[in-house]
Amino acid sequence: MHMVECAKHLLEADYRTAVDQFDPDAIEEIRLRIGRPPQILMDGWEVLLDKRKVQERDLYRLLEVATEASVHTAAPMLAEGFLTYHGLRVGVCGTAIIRDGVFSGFRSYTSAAIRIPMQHPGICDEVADRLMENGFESTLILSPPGGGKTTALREIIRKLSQAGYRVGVADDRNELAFMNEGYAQLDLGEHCDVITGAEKARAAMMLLRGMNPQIIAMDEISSEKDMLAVEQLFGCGVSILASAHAAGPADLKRRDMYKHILDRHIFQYLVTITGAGSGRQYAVTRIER
Amino acid sequence: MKALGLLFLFAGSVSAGVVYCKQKKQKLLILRELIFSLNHMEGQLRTNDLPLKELCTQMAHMSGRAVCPFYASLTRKLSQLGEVSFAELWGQALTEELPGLDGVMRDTLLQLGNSLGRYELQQQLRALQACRSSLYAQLEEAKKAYPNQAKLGMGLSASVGILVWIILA
Repeated sequence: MHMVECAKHLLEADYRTAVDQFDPDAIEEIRLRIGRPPQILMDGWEVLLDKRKVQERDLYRLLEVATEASVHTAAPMLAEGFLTYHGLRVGVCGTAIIRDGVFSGFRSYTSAAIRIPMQHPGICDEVADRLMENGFESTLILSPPGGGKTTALREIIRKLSQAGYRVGVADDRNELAFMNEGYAQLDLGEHCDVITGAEKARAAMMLLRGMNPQIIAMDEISSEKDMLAVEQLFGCGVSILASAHAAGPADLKRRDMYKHILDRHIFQYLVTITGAGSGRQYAVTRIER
Repeated sequence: MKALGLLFLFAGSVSAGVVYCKQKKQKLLILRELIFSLNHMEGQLRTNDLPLKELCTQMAHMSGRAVCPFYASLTRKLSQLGEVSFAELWGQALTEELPGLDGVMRDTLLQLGNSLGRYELQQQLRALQACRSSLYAQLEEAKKAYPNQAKLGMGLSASVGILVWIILA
Protein backbone atom coordinates (compact mmCIF):
# COMPACT_ATOMS: atom_id res chain seq x y z
CA MET A 1 0.00 0.00 0.00
CA HIS A 2 1.29 3.48 -0.88
CA MET A 3 2.05 5.59 2.19
CA VAL A 4 -0.43 8.21 0.98
CA GLU A 5 -3.19 5.58 1.07
CA CYS A 6 -2.22 4.88 4.66
CA ALA A 7 -2.29 8.61 5.47
CA LYS A 8 -5.76 8.94 3.92
CA HIS A 9 -7.19 6.74 6.69
CA LEU A 10 -6.48 9.61 9.05
CA LEU A 11 -8.57 12.09 7.04
CA GLU A 12 -12.28 12.80 6.66
CA ALA A 13 -13.92 11.53 3.46
CA ASP A 14 -13.91 14.90 1.65
CA TYR A 15 -10.20 15.42 2.30
CA ARG A 16 -9.49 11.84 1.18
CA THR A 17 -11.14 12.57 -2.16
CA ALA A 18 -9.15 15.80 -2.46
CA VAL A 19 -5.86 13.96 -1.85
CA ASP A 20 -6.66 11.70 -4.83
CA GLN A 21 -6.31 14.72 -7.14
CA PHE A 22 -2.57 14.88 -6.41
CA ASP A 23 0.33 12.72 -7.54
CA PRO A 24 0.94 10.49 -4.50
CA ASP A 25 4.67 10.33 -5.17
CA ALA A 26 4.92 14.12 -4.90
CA ILE A 27 3.15 14.50 -1.55
CA GLU A 28 5.61 15.13 1.28
CA GLU A 29 3.20 16.19 4.02
CA ILE A 30 -0.49 16.78 4.67
CA ARG A 31 -1.01 19.66 7.08
CA LEU A 32 -4.18 20.42 9.04
CA ARG A 33 -4.61 23.64 11.02
CA ILE A 34 -7.88 24.45 12.78
CA GLY A 35 -9.72 27.31 11.09
CA ARG A 36 -7.55 27.11 7.97
CA PRO A 37 -7.92 25.10 4.78
CA PRO A 38 -5.76 21.95 4.75
CA GLN A 39 -2.52 22.06 2.79
CA ILE A 40 -0.27 19.59 1.04
CA LEU A 41 3.48 20.02 1.08
CA MET A 42 4.98 19.37 -2.35
CA ASP A 43 8.43 20.27 -3.53
CA GLY A 44 8.97 22.23 -0.32
CA TRP A 45 5.86 24.41 -0.73
CA GLU A 46 2.37 24.21 0.70
CA VAL A 47 -0.48 23.81 -1.80
CA LEU A 48 -4.21 24.08 -1.02
CA LEU A 49 -5.73 20.63 -0.54
CA ASP A 50 -9.39 21.56 -0.07
CA LYS A 51 -11.44 24.71 0.54
CA ARG A 52 -13.23 23.37 3.62
CA LYS A 53 -11.54 24.75 6.71
CA VAL A 54 -10.19 22.26 9.21
CA GLN A 55 -12.40 21.85 12.26
CA GLU A 56 -11.64 20.48 15.71
CA ARG A 57 -13.45 17.25 14.85
CA ASP A 58 -10.99 16.62 11.97
CA LEU A 59 -8.07 16.60 14.38
CA TYR A 60 -9.91 14.48 16.95
CA ARG A 61 -10.78 12.01 14.22
CA LEU A 62 -7.16 11.86 13.10
CA LEU A 63 -6.01 11.20 16.67
CA GLU A 64 -8.75 8.65 17.26
CA VAL A 65 -7.76 6.63 14.19
CA ALA A 66 -4.02 6.99 14.81
CA THR A 67 -4.29 5.84 18.43
CA GLU A 68 -7.21 3.40 17.95
CA ALA A 69 -9.29 5.59 20.27
CA SER A 70 -6.63 5.45 22.99
CA VAL A 71 -4.91 8.82 23.02
CA HIS A 72 -3.62 8.13 26.55
CA THR A 73 -1.40 5.31 25.25
CA ALA A 74 0.33 7.75 22.88
CA ALA A 75 1.27 10.22 25.65
CA PRO A 76 5.00 9.29 25.67
CA MET A 77 5.18 9.87 21.91
CA LEU A 78 3.07 13.02 22.08
CA ALA A 79 5.54 14.30 24.66
CA GLU A 80 8.09 14.23 21.83
CA GLY A 81 5.67 16.21 19.65
CA PHE A 82 4.41 13.47 17.38
CA LEU A 83 2.85 10.04 17.17
CA THR A 84 3.28 7.30 14.62
CA TYR A 85 0.61 5.50 12.64
CA HIS A 86 1.83 2.43 10.75
CA GLY A 87 5.19 4.17 10.42
CA LEU A 88 3.80 7.54 9.35
CA ARG A 89 4.90 10.34 11.60
CA VAL A 90 2.11 12.68 12.64
CA GLY A 91 3.30 15.90 14.27
CA VAL A 92 0.77 17.41 16.67
CA CYS A 93 0.39 20.89 18.21
CA GLY A 94 -1.99 22.10 20.88
CA THR A 95 -2.27 23.27 24.45
CA ALA A 96 -0.04 21.02 26.53
CA ILE A 97 -0.94 19.74 29.97
CA ILE A 98 2.03 19.54 32.32
CA ARG A 99 1.56 17.65 35.58
CA ASP A 100 4.37 17.66 38.17
CA GLY A 101 6.67 18.94 35.47
CA VAL A 102 5.87 16.06 33.13
CA PHE A 103 3.91 16.34 29.88
CA SER A 104 0.74 14.27 30.12
CA GLY A 105 -1.08 15.20 26.92
CA PHE A 106 -2.83 17.99 25.10
CA ARG A 107 -5.92 19.77 26.44
CA SER A 108 -6.89 20.77 22.91
CA TYR A 109 -5.33 20.44 19.47
CA THR A 110 -4.58 23.17 16.98
CA SER A 111 -2.71 21.52 14.12
CA ALA A 112 -1.27 18.30 12.76
CA ALA A 113 1.22 17.41 10.04
CA ILE A 114 1.18 13.95 8.49
CA ARG A 115 4.60 13.25 7.03
CA ILE A 116 4.76 10.80 4.15
CA PRO A 117 7.94 8.71 4.09
CA MET A 118 9.49 8.96 0.67
CA GLN A 119 11.75 6.63 -1.21
CA HIS A 120 13.60 8.15 -4.12
CA PRO A 121 15.95 5.43 -5.36
CA GLY A 122 19.13 6.87 -6.74
CA ILE A 123 19.08 10.32 -5.15
CA CYS A 124 22.04 9.51 -2.92
CA ASP A 125 23.97 7.12 -5.17
CA GLU A 126 26.86 9.53 -5.67
CA VAL A 127 26.98 10.36 -1.97
CA ALA A 128 26.98 6.68 -1.01
CA ASP A 129 29.67 5.86 -3.59
CA ARG A 130 31.84 8.65 -2.23
CA LEU A 131 31.34 7.42 1.35
CA MET A 132 32.29 3.87 0.35
CA GLU A 133 35.33 4.91 -1.70
CA ASN A 134 37.88 3.95 0.95
CA GLY A 135 35.63 1.82 3.10
CA PHE A 136 32.69 3.34 4.95
CA GLU A 137 33.47 5.55 7.95
CA SER A 138 31.07 7.12 10.45
CA THR A 139 28.91 9.77 8.81
CA LEU A 140 26.44 12.38 10.03
CA ILE A 141 23.74 13.70 7.69
CA LEU A 142 22.65 17.30 8.30
CA SER A 143 19.64 19.30 7.18
CA PRO A 144 17.04 21.61 8.68
CA PRO A 145 13.68 20.01 9.69
CA GLY A 146 11.86 18.70 6.62
CA GLY A 147 15.06 18.91 4.59
CA GLY A 148 15.09 15.27 3.54
CA LYS A 149 17.43 13.74 6.15
CA THR A 150 15.38 10.60 6.67
CA THR A 151 14.98 10.00 2.93
CA ALA A 152 18.72 10.48 2.38
CA LEU A 153 19.58 8.26 5.34
CA ARG A 154 17.26 5.52 4.02
CA GLU A 155 18.87 5.72 0.58
CA ILE A 156 22.41 5.59 1.93
CA ILE A 157 21.48 2.60 4.13
CA ARG A 158 20.02 0.86 1.08
CA LYS A 159 23.14 1.49 -1.01
CA LEU A 160 25.49 0.35 1.78
CA SER A 161 23.37 -2.74 2.36
CA GLN A 162 23.28 -3.51 -1.38
CA ALA A 163 27.06 -3.12 -1.48
CA GLY A 164 27.32 -5.93 1.08
CA TYR A 165 27.69 -4.05 4.35
CA ARG A 166 25.74 -5.52 7.26
CA VAL A 167 23.71 -2.54 8.50
CA GLY A 168 21.85 -2.59 11.82
CA VAL A 169 19.10 0.03 11.96
CA ALA A 170 17.90 1.43 15.30
CA ASP A 171 14.57 2.67 13.98
CA ASP A 172 12.81 3.81 17.15
CA ARG A 173 9.95 5.57 15.32
CA ASN A 174 9.61 3.04 12.51
CA GLU A 175 10.27 5.78 9.98
CA LEU A 176 13.14 4.24 8.09
CA ALA A 177 11.90 0.76 7.30
CA PHE A 178 8.17 1.35 7.80
CA MET A 179 7.88 -2.18 9.23
CA ASN A 180 4.47 -3.76 9.05
CA GLU A 181 3.90 -7.30 10.32
CA GLY A 182 7.59 -8.13 10.03
CA TYR A 183 8.05 -6.81 6.50
CA ALA A 184 9.87 -3.60 5.64
CA GLN A 185 7.55 -1.48 3.48
CA LEU A 186 10.49 0.60 2.27
CA ASP A 187 13.53 -1.06 0.75
CA LEU A 188 16.63 -1.01 2.94
CA GLY A 189 18.59 -3.56 0.94
CA GLU A 190 19.59 -7.18 1.37
CA HIS A 191 21.87 -6.99 4.40
CA CYS A 192 19.88 -4.91 6.80
CA ASP A 193 18.54 -5.77 10.29
CA VAL A 194 16.01 -3.45 11.88
CA ILE A 195 14.88 -2.94 15.48
CA THR A 196 11.80 -0.74 15.78
CA GLY A 197 10.07 0.64 18.83
CA ALA A 198 13.04 0.58 21.22
CA GLU A 199 15.00 3.69 22.20
CA LYS A 200 18.01 4.28 19.97
CA ALA A 201 20.58 3.64 22.72
CA ARG A 202 18.98 0.33 23.70
CA ALA A 203 18.35 -0.78 20.10
CA ALA A 204 21.92 0.08 19.09
CA MET A 205 23.37 -2.06 21.89
CA MET A 206 20.98 -4.90 21.07
CA LEU A 207 22.09 -4.79 17.44
CA LEU A 208 25.73 -4.63 18.45
CA ARG A 209 25.46 -7.66 20.75
CA GLY A 210 23.14 -9.75 18.66
CA MET A 211 23.52 -9.01 14.97
CA ASN A 212 27.25 -8.42 14.36
CA PRO A 213 26.69 -5.26 12.28
CA GLN A 214 29.43 -3.36 10.45
CA ILE A 215 27.39 -0.17 10.47
CA ILE A 216 24.70 1.00 12.87
CA ALA A 217 22.27 3.57 11.50
CA MET A 218 19.89 5.83 13.40
CA ASP A 219 17.72 8.78 12.45
CA GLU A 220 17.73 12.16 14.19
CA ILE A 221 20.14 12.07 17.07
CA SER A 222 18.85 15.04 19.00
CA SER A 223 18.80 14.31 22.73
CA GLU A 224 21.35 13.53 25.43
CA LYS A 225 20.18 9.91 25.36
CA ASP A 226 20.86 9.71 21.61
CA MET A 227 24.33 11.17 22.12
CA LEU A 228 24.93 8.53 24.76
CA ALA A 229 23.99 5.86 22.20
CA VAL A 230 26.51 7.31 19.74
CA GLU A 231 29.24 7.49 22.39
CA GLN A 232 28.55 3.93 23.50
CA LEU A 233 29.00 2.70 19.93
CA PHE A 234 32.20 4.69 19.46
CA GLY A 235 35.17 2.39 19.79
CA CYS A 236 33.09 -0.79 19.50
CA GLY A 237 34.35 -1.60 16.01
CA VAL A 238 31.27 -0.43 14.13
CA SER A 239 30.74 2.65 12.00
CA ILE A 240 27.83 4.96 12.70
CA LEU A 241 25.48 6.48 10.17
CA ALA A 242 23.15 9.06 11.69
CA SER A 243 21.26 12.24 10.94
CA ALA A 244 20.78 15.47 12.88
CA HIS A 245 18.87 18.74 12.64
CA ALA A 246 21.26 21.45 11.50
CA ALA A 247 21.53 23.78 8.53
CA GLY A 248 25.23 22.95 8.19
CA PRO A 249 28.46 22.22 10.09
CA ALA A 250 28.63 25.71 11.61
CA ASP A 251 25.04 25.43 12.83
CA LEU A 252 25.80 22.01 14.30
CA LYS A 253 28.72 23.31 16.37
CA ARG A 254 26.47 25.87 18.06
CA ARG A 255 24.93 23.12 20.17
CA ASP A 256 27.12 21.81 22.96
CA MET A 257 26.11 18.16 22.66
CA TYR A 258 26.98 18.04 18.95
CA LYS A 259 30.17 20.03 19.52
CA HIS A 260 31.19 17.39 22.04
CA ILE A 261 30.78 14.46 19.63
CA LEU A 262 32.50 16.41 16.85
CA ASP A 263 35.41 17.20 19.17
CA ARG A 264 35.74 13.51 19.94
CA HIS A 265 35.97 12.79 16.19
CA ILE A 266 33.26 10.16 16.34
CA PHE A 267 32.17 11.11 12.81
CA GLN A 268 34.57 11.31 9.89
CA TYR A 269 32.16 12.67 7.27
CA LEU A 270 29.31 15.15 7.15
CA VAL A 271 26.64 15.07 4.45
CA THR A 272 24.92 18.44 4.25
CA ILE A 273 21.58 18.72 2.45
CA THR A 274 20.57 22.08 1.00
CA GLY A 275 17.63 23.19 -1.13
CA ALA A 276 14.15 21.74 -1.23
CA GLY A 277 12.11 19.26 -3.25
CA SER A 278 13.70 18.09 -6.46
CA GLY A 279 16.36 20.81 -6.17
CA ARG A 280 18.00 19.25 -3.12
CA GLN A 281 21.79 19.08 -3.16
CA TYR A 282 24.07 16.86 -1.14
CA ALA A 283 27.58 17.93 -0.11
CA VAL A 284 30.03 15.49 1.44
CA THR A 285 32.79 16.95 3.62
CA ARG A 286 35.49 15.16 5.54
CA ILE A 287 35.88 16.37 9.11
CA GLU A 288 39.49 17.38 9.60
CA ARG A 289 41.16 16.35 12.83
CA MET B 1 -66.02 -20.81 31.41
CA LYS B 2 -66.74 -17.31 32.67
CA ALA B 3 -64.83 -18.04 35.89
CA LEU B 4 -61.85 -19.29 33.86
CA GLY B 5 -61.90 -16.08 31.78
CA LEU B 6 -62.00 -13.96 34.91
CA LEU B 7 -59.14 -15.96 36.36
CA PHE B 8 -57.07 -15.32 33.25
CA LEU B 9 -57.80 -11.59 33.42
CA PHE B 10 -56.79 -11.51 37.09
CA ALA B 11 -53.60 -13.49 36.37
CA GLY B 12 -52.77 -11.15 33.46
CA SER B 13 -53.15 -8.10 35.63
CA VAL B 14 -50.97 -9.59 38.40
CA SER B 15 -48.30 -10.69 35.93
CA ALA B 16 -48.13 -7.11 34.61
CA GLY B 17 -47.22 -6.12 38.15
CA VAL B 18 -44.58 -8.86 38.29
CA VAL B 19 -43.06 -7.65 35.00
CA TYR B 20 -42.98 -4.09 36.34
CA CYS B 21 -41.15 -5.26 39.48
CA LYS B 22 -38.70 -7.30 37.39
CA GLN B 23 -37.90 -4.27 35.26
CA LYS B 24 -37.11 -2.26 38.36
CA LYS B 25 -34.93 -5.08 39.67
CA GLN B 26 -33.16 -5.35 36.30
CA LYS B 27 -32.40 -1.63 36.45
CA LEU B 28 -30.76 -2.17 39.85
CA LEU B 29 -28.72 -5.06 38.43
CA ILE B 30 -27.59 -3.05 35.38
CA LEU B 31 -26.62 -0.10 37.56
CA ARG B 32 -24.63 -2.36 39.92
CA GLU B 33 -22.81 -4.09 37.06
CA LEU B 34 -22.12 -0.84 35.24
CA ILE B 35 -20.62 0.70 38.36
CA PHE B 36 -18.50 -2.41 38.90
CA SER B 37 -17.29 -2.39 35.30
CA LEU B 38 -16.48 1.33 35.33
CA ASN B 39 -14.58 0.81 38.55
CA HIS B 40 -12.56 -1.94 36.93
CA MET B 41 -11.98 0.17 33.81
CA GLU B 42 -10.67 3.02 35.92
CA GLY B 43 -8.28 0.68 37.71
CA GLN B 44 -6.98 -0.81 34.47
CA LEU B 45 -6.50 2.60 32.88
CA ARG B 46 -4.77 3.97 35.96
CA THR B 47 -2.40 1.06 36.50
CA ASN B 48 -1.91 -0.55 33.09
CA ASP B 49 -2.63 2.31 30.68
CA LEU B 50 -4.51 -0.19 28.50
CA PRO B 51 -5.74 0.75 25.02
CA LEU B 52 -9.54 0.82 24.79
CA LYS B 53 -9.76 -2.13 22.41
CA GLU B 54 -8.03 -4.36 24.93
CA LEU B 55 -10.00 -2.88 27.78
CA CYS B 56 -13.35 -3.50 26.07
CA THR B 57 -12.38 -7.11 25.29
CA GLN B 58 -11.44 -7.59 28.93
CA MET B 59 -14.74 -6.06 30.09
CA ALA B 60 -16.72 -8.28 27.73
CA HIS B 61 -15.18 -11.32 29.41
CA MET B 62 -15.43 -10.29 33.00
CA SER B 63 -18.61 -8.23 33.27
CA GLY B 64 -21.86 -9.64 34.65
CA ARG B 65 -24.54 -11.03 32.35
CA ALA B 66 -26.51 -7.76 32.30
CA VAL B 67 -23.78 -5.56 30.78
CA CYS B 68 -21.46 -8.13 29.17
CA PRO B 69 -23.39 -8.00 25.82
CA PHE B 70 -22.82 -4.24 25.74
CA TYR B 71 -19.03 -4.57 25.97
CA ALA B 72 -19.01 -7.56 23.60
CA SER B 73 -20.96 -5.55 21.02
CA LEU B 74 -18.67 -2.55 21.49
CA THR B 75 -15.58 -4.74 20.99
CA ARG B 76 -17.02 -6.04 17.71
CA LYS B 77 -17.95 -2.56 16.57
CA LEU B 78 -14.44 -1.21 17.16
CA SER B 79 -13.43 -2.65 13.79
CA GLN B 80 -15.46 0.22 12.28
CA LEU B 81 -13.30 2.81 14.00
CA GLY B 82 -12.24 5.40 11.48
CA GLU B 83 -15.51 5.23 9.60
CA VAL B 84 -17.52 5.79 12.77
CA SER B 85 -16.27 7.61 15.86
CA PHE B 86 -15.78 5.80 19.17
CA ALA B 87 -18.49 7.94 20.79
CA GLU B 88 -20.99 6.86 18.11
CA LEU B 89 -20.02 3.19 18.43
CA TRP B 90 -20.43 3.46 22.20
CA GLY B 91 -23.88 5.04 21.71
CA GLN B 92 -24.93 2.36 19.19
CA ALA B 93 -23.88 -0.45 21.55
CA LEU B 94 -25.83 1.20 24.39
CA THR B 95 -28.98 1.46 22.28
CA GLU B 96 -28.74 -2.09 20.97
CA GLU B 97 -27.65 -3.97 24.09
CA LEU B 98 -29.05 -1.90 26.96
CA PRO B 99 -32.36 -0.67 25.50
CA GLY B 100 -34.01 -0.48 28.91
CA LEU B 101 -31.81 2.36 30.15
CA ASP B 102 -33.77 5.40 31.28
CA GLY B 103 -32.94 8.88 29.99
CA VAL B 104 -30.66 9.97 32.83
CA MET B 105 -28.60 6.75 32.83
CA ARG B 106 -28.25 6.88 29.06
CA ASP B 107 -27.16 10.53 29.03
CA THR B 108 -24.60 9.85 31.76
CA LEU B 109 -23.11 6.97 29.78
CA LEU B 110 -23.21 8.84 26.47
CA GLN B 111 -21.22 11.64 28.08
CA LEU B 112 -18.62 9.11 29.18
CA GLY B 113 -18.41 7.75 25.62
CA ASN B 114 -17.50 11.25 24.43
CA SER B 115 -14.47 11.34 26.72
CA LEU B 116 -13.13 7.79 26.68
CA GLY B 117 -9.98 7.37 24.59
CA ARG B 118 -10.21 10.93 23.40
CA TYR B 119 -8.42 12.93 26.06
CA GLU B 120 -5.30 12.46 28.14
CA LEU B 121 -5.46 9.90 30.94
CA GLN B 122 -6.39 12.16 33.88
CA GLN B 123 -9.29 13.69 31.95
CA GLN B 124 -10.58 10.22 31.11
CA LEU B 125 -10.25 9.11 34.71
CA ARG B 126 -12.19 12.18 35.85
CA ALA B 127 -14.94 11.40 33.32
CA LEU B 128 -15.08 7.80 34.57
CA GLN B 129 -15.32 8.95 38.18
CA ALA B 130 -18.06 11.45 37.35
CA CYS B 131 -20.04 8.81 35.48
CA ARG B 132 -19.60 6.29 38.28
CA SER B 133 -20.69 8.80 40.94
CA SER B 134 -23.77 9.70 38.94
CA LEU B 135 -24.68 6.04 38.42
CA TYR B 136 -24.03 5.35 42.10
CA ALA B 137 -26.42 8.14 43.09
CA GLN B 138 -29.03 6.69 40.71
CA LEU B 139 -28.47 3.23 42.20
CA GLU B 140 -28.98 4.50 45.77
CA GLU B 141 -32.14 6.29 44.69
CA ALA B 142 -33.42 3.22 42.84
CA LYS B 143 -32.60 0.97 45.82
CA LYS B 144 -34.56 3.23 48.16
CA ALA B 145 -37.49 3.47 45.79
CA TYR B 146 -37.59 -0.24 44.89
CA PRO B 147 -39.52 -1.66 47.93
CA ASN B 148 -42.25 0.94 47.57
CA GLN B 149 -42.36 0.60 43.79
CA ALA B 150 -42.59 -3.18 44.11
CA LYS B 151 -45.39 -2.94 46.68
CA LEU B 152 -47.19 -0.30 44.62
CA GLY B 153 -46.80 -2.24 41.38
CA MET B 154 -47.97 -5.54 42.84
CA GLY B 155 -50.73 -3.91 44.88
CA LEU B 156 -52.03 -1.87 41.97
CA SER B 157 -52.00 -4.77 39.53
CA ALA B 158 -53.76 -7.05 42.03
CA SER B 159 -56.36 -4.36 42.79
CA VAL B 160 -57.03 -3.82 39.09
CA GLY B 161 -57.42 -7.60 38.72
CA ILE B 162 -59.89 -7.79 41.62
CA LEU B 163 -61.80 -4.75 40.35
CA VAL B 164 -62.14 -6.29 36.90
CA TRP B 165 -63.22 -9.58 38.54
CA ILE B 166 -65.93 -7.79 40.58
CA ILE B 167 -67.18 -5.72 37.63
CA LEU B 168 -67.38 -8.61 35.24
CA ALA B 169 -68.63 -11.16 37.79
